[in-house]
Amino acid sequence: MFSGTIEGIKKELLFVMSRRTTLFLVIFFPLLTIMTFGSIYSTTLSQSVSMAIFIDEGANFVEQSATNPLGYKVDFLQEIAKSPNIRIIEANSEDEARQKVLQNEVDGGIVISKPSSREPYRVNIILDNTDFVQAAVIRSTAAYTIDSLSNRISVAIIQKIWEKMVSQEWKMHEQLERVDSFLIEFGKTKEMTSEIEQRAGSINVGEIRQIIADQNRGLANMRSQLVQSRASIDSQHKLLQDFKSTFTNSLYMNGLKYTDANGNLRYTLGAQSMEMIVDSYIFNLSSNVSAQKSTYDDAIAKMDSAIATMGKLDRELSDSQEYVSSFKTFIADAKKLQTSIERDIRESRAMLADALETIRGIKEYSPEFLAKPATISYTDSVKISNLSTEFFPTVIALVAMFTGVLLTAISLISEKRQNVMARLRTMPVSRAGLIVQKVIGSLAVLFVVQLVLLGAGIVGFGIQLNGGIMGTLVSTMLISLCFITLGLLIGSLTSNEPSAILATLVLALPLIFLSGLFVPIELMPSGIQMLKYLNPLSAGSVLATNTLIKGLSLFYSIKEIVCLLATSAVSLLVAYIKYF
Amino acid sequence: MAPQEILRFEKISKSFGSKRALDSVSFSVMEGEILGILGPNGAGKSTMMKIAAGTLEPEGGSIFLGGREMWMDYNARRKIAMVPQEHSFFGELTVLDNLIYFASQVGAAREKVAKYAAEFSLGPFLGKRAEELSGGYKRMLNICISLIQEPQIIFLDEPSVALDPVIRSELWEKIIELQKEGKTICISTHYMEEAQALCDRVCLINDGKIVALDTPDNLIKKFTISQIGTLTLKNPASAPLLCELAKQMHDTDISLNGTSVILRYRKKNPQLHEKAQLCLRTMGAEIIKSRLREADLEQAFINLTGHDLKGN
Repeated sequence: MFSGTIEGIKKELLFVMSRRTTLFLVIFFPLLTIMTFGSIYSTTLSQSVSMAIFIDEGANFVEQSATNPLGYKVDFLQEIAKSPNIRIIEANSEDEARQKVLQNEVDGGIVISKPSSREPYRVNIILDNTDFVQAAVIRSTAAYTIDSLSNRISVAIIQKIWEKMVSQEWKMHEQLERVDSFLIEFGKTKEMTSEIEQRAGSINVGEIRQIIADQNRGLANMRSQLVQSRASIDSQHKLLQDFKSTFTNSLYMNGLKYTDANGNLRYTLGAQSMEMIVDSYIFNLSSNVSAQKSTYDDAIAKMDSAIATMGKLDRELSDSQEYVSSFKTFIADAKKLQTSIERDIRESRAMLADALETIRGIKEYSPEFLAKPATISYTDSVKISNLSTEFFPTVIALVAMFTGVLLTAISLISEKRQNVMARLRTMPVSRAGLIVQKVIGSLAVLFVVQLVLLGAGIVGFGIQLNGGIMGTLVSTMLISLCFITLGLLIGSLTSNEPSAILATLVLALPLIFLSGLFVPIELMPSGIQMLKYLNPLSAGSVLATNTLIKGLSLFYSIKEIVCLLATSAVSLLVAYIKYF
Repeated sequence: MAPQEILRFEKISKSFGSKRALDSVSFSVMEGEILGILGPNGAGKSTMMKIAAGTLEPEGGSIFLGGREMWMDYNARRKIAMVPQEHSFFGELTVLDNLIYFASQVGAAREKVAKYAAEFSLGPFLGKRAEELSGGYKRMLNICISLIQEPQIIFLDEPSVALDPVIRSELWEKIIELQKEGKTICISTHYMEEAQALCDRVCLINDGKIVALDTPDNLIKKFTISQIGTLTLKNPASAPLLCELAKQMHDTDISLNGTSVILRYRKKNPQLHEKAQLCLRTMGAEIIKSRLREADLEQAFINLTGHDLKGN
């Protein structure tokens, strides 16, 4: 039995090796396949796509002006040229760009226009939709480039807005220092008033007059400071309001905010979120400043009242000595008033400090964040340097399919044609034994084929294998086994080479189309997508990806292994029944 | 000691569509004999062999091997070898690789490869691809492969078809040697001289039925009482000439084979042949060769079936 198996395997190898053409093709087929795939995909990641680009007149420049202080100067062609993935072919019109795409002069087209200064840029990407893979590449490359470009413009505009807002910080800081200085002086006045209150019983009229004069001067001085602070706050309020209108205007002028044909308000990029953030800050600051203004108005009114009270006292004292005794009462009232003013001012200070913190809060947001709050990044789960590696598992499955099915089927047909099968049927040999010999022999041939493929892939095209030797061996053998048994099935059901070859094509074409090689499985109708679980070509490709490229253990490919083994089992069963 | 029955066909029937290939055929093969199965194309010879070799299932009847129904004998396949009419080996492999492969499949020792290769004159060609052998040596290899399993019974299906006389004679010698080694041999053939030269007994089969089974001598004795004359003319005989000849020659069957007129005399009388020659010459025919021989198996077959082995 063992000797029979060895001779059977040897016979399968001799079948391939006995004809130079067969041997050459068995070696050449995997080489040709890897060379084709490798050449096509090895440099795709660093290749650029050619694009016919037409920039409509007026789209390039949005000049800075009195009404658009945040205007940004754009040279789209220059900006697009910075992209390493786009090779620019200039077009003179949108139609010319479309024609260039249609006539395959370029891979795709970009047309940029800006209907008016108050509307956003319109970017039209022209695709060759007869080649949806190329269209997908163009779509993503062009969209990525335009998105990056838009983002750069947006960041530049927002940088200016940000700088204006952040510039308020220093002004508020100065205001705060002024208030602190006022409070110190006000504290001194209060202390003086307290001293007067203590001495009120023993003080003479002359001294009282002197004190009142001093108090009035001090109060007038402080009032003047309050008025100055009030004016500063008022100017801040105006500045904020101006800033709000400038900002909104800038959004319009730069096309970040516009009204569409139906009269609906529209935003581009992150303009809406940016406006919301800015509006929220301006609203908070404005409320704060309004409250401060009101507080200051109250404080100034109280100050005026205090000054008036002092004046009245001074006048009454000059009229009659008997009012000396009532001085105590005035002083006590003045003290209360001072306390009230101080509380108001401290309250205002707190608000000012809060506003300062608000402005400082804006600094935490970078212009990049305000322009584009969310960014997308891509991380490869497996480190591969070229698309050849990505497509390599499919190549392995494809080569195994064509070599395995055809070699085995033709070998079987050859035995039928040479009447060897008829002879074996009359001999005391086991059908299962013959099938085992054929399977093992063909596995040996396919092992050589896969070795050629792996060697050429690694040496010639830098295929990166992350899987272990055992995983690689087992998965390639499982794939080979599946297609060898399918070859046995075809060889058992057909009686000559042409019908075997046609049957192989009948089997292979649906498997290839359903494998996702031409159309991604995810784009297929859901019902058809389910067929991937029955497709040994997809299963082989996924298994090879998992084990060879991702370096996963076979455990992670149970579904694929089940598919391959189930296909092998069914094929073997039918082949066994129909073998002779 | 009388020879023992080794193989028995009992009421074996087989049809292909509406055609009855074998119709309740029964006969026995005796141990150590060479049995010839003789019949025209389509008579059922190959069907009978394929059933015996196990590649065709009969519709009815049984085959007994050594007294036991063949399907009950686990080793039946080992005991019976079939040498198909067509070459049945790997053309792309060498003679040696073919012999080793088939030997390994039936569990035969390698020494037998060398032995049978030598016996069948294949020694000088062991390293040669089988497809490159001459027709005769291909036939030798075909037989050699079947013998490697050392069977008791060998079925040879039309072994000498398209062989040149030298190789055919060599093959006959090998077959006789095999018989001497104790093998039982069944040969299907449509060559009368092969059957007469080699076979101990001949089974005449026609339209799926056995019409006679006996030794060649007995068959001739039983079923022929005449002689065969062949007159080769310079020019092909015309229909009126043959009609005139038939009128004058009683007890004679007349047929035409090319430029030869075949005369089958129902009575053994050499003067009849002289008379036929005289008639033809009188009618203007020029005879270039004349031959008279005793009747053979073919004549027996014709007498039994009404037509020759070519169906004429």
